Amino acid sequence: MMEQILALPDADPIPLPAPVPLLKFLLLLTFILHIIPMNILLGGSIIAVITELLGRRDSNRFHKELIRDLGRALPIVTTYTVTLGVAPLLFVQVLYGQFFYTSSILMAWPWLFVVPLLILGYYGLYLWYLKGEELGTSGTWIKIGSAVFFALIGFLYTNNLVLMLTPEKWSGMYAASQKGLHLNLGDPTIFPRYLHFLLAALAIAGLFIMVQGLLTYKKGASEYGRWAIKYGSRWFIFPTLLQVIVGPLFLFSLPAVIRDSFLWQSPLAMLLLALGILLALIGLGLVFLASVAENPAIKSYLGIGCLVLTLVFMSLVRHLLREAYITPHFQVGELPVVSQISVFVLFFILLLVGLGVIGYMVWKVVQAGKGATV
Amino acid sequence: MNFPVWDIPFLGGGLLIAIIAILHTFIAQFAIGGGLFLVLTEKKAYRESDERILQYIRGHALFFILLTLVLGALTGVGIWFSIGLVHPSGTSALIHAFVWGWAIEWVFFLVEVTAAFVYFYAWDRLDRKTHLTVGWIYFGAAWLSLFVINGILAFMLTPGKWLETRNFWLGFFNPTYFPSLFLRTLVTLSLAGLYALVTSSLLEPPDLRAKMVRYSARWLAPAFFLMPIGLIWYLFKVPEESRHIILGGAPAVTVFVVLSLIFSVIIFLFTFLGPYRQPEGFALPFAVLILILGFMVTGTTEWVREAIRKPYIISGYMYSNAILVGEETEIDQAGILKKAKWVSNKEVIPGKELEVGREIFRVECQSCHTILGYNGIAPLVRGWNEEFMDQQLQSLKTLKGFMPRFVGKEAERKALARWLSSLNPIQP
Repeated sequence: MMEQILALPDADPIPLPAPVPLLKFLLLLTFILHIIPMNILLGGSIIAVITELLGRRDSNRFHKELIRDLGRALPIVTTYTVTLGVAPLLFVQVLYGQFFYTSSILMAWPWLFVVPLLILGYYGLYLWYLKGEELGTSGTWIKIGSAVFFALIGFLYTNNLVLMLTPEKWSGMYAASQKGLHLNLGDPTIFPRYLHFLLAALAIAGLFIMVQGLLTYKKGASEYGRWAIKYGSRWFIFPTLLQVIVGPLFLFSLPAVIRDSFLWQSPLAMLLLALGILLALIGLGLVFLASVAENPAIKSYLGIGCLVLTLVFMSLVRHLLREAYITPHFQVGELPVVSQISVFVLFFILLLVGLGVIGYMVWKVVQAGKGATV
Repeated sequence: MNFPVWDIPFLGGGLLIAIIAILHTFIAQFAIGGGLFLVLTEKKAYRESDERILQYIRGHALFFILLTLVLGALTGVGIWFSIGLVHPSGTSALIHAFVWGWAIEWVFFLVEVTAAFVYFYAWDRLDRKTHLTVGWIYFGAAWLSLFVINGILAFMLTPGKWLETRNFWLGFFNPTYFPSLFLRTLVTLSLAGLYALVTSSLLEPPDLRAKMVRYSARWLAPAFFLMPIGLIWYLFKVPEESRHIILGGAPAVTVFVVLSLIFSVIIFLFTFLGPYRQPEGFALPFAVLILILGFMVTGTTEWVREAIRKPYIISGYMYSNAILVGEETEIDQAGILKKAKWVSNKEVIPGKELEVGREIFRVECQSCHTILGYNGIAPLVRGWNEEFMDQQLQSLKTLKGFMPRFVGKEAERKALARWLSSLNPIQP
């Protein structure tokens, strides 16, 4: 009975403060900025656990060195993941708030659970960084804890961000329970989608390890640097090869109507997806060549460049997929717009000033450390 | 009405938000004043060429990073998550009215976290002057983030001319903006002192401890002298109804105001007589006690700030139950069940009054009331029969000024009254 009566909430009556394309651009730009550290964090924390277990078996000193490097980097990466994540979450609420709030309410407790998971996972990283090897075996458990918590957060995000796209399911869920305990496990896209993103996180964290290797290599620690390049490249290559299976699995788990409307009938989505895959293949080749090359720097950076573009194209494809889901229910382009030009200009100026100040501080650190990173 | 309602038994949405928000405020305001404390104390160490003070402030900086960048920042995200779940319409309104304000806030966050990391991690690498500059950048960005969020928080109580114009700037620089910014800035300085009392109470040897304890205690002085002026200024600017609530209109609120004032006076008195006058004997338990009192002041004050806004989420624009000001008559005519999106009964069907009444409660009352827990409705209406209940519902606005009036058709109101009176079955 409830099914027929329930409806999608109305969009907020307050008009949008800028044209929709500008808001979408900012959503996508900040989303891409967010997922780079996010992938490094998620993938890096998982790689750290496995590296530690491998290192213990092989008593390899490079494994320990890498753990130390990751331990120093990941707390900082966490803060940027969160801070850069604030902006896309803001623009999603501006553009698609009625979808996002509703799905969040249906899975309120699991969704809110993201916050304590993040706090615990983050404190785990700091314990690891500050106490290091003093922790002994409990250090391994702490790393496992952080990695599991971060992986769980990703899973909750996948649940919610798919649930927000399927309003036809909401009424049944709400009728079943209003206690906010739902997940979205019944959706056949959830697991392939999550696996697709999880593999990408491992791959990008692998690239991050390569970059760390390249930087130490440049500073003269050639043996460890070379090992890290090779080790990182493997973490990139194998998960990416698995995407050959998982990617299509995800694509074909999508409802046929959605897949048709977003892919076969949209030359843009098709083109972006094809470009993304092509660049991923080129990047894969370059990273492989770099891992066996005498002088890996140029090939590595070229490969990473290609893969960053893949990340950009795939994010755009993801956005088009979201639009394909939402368009039958709601056209964001039809919302009233009353541009707040003065505040936007102020935001833009402050953004430039802020980036300048950040650049100044980073430059000072780099200069003082003669090329080292924080 | 527009969104589904999340049932949180016993706790209720309001208390859930309050728990997260008070913790966040208590840490985030420290993150601002504490930034100033870091730079000024570092400068003091250089000025006095005291290596021990420098060692102390480095330790304090680690404590600061661990508390503010993790728990402080993430409870901030937690507020955002929880208000979106409990008050989606109100959250959406604040987001939409101030999109670029939030975006500007985000720029300050980025600068703030970067400065915090550089300040902490690159301490040995940077020269003194640059390091202090980074400290100042941190404090500047942190205070500017208060500058922005203060506008949006104050807007909820006093949206001012925004109501007619929908103008960003008029909503942002609203009537309580400046007194509120003034008060919060003073609080950030006091909290810098309160937290520093905790870390300095652990210092050895005793002469260093005494010196730094006394120094930390002095950070409460600006608030002690200027807070009364700020409070009077603030009280002068809040709407008439809010002033009425504070000064006795709603006894619970007045009690909390008095508690907040008493705790504040105790903090100043303790700090003056303890760490300031006799810093030698100061120890950790005393510091923690003062910190807990500080937490209670934050809790009671923020609770009051929320309470005096009743019956609104955004004064003059949206009621606590997300019904917009101005749409009441329309709902009276069409019926709340017709207007609400997430109810299974679209009209009152004879024989189903109890089920319908429960649904209406969820839509119109549950944003503030639970059934049995926090602000529980069942104990509040104990002993009321159906007829009396219905009379109360008809004149909620006049009887209880902090509640929105009931909106909807007569049959809907009667169904709600029947369900409410069924909560406390009359004992035979």
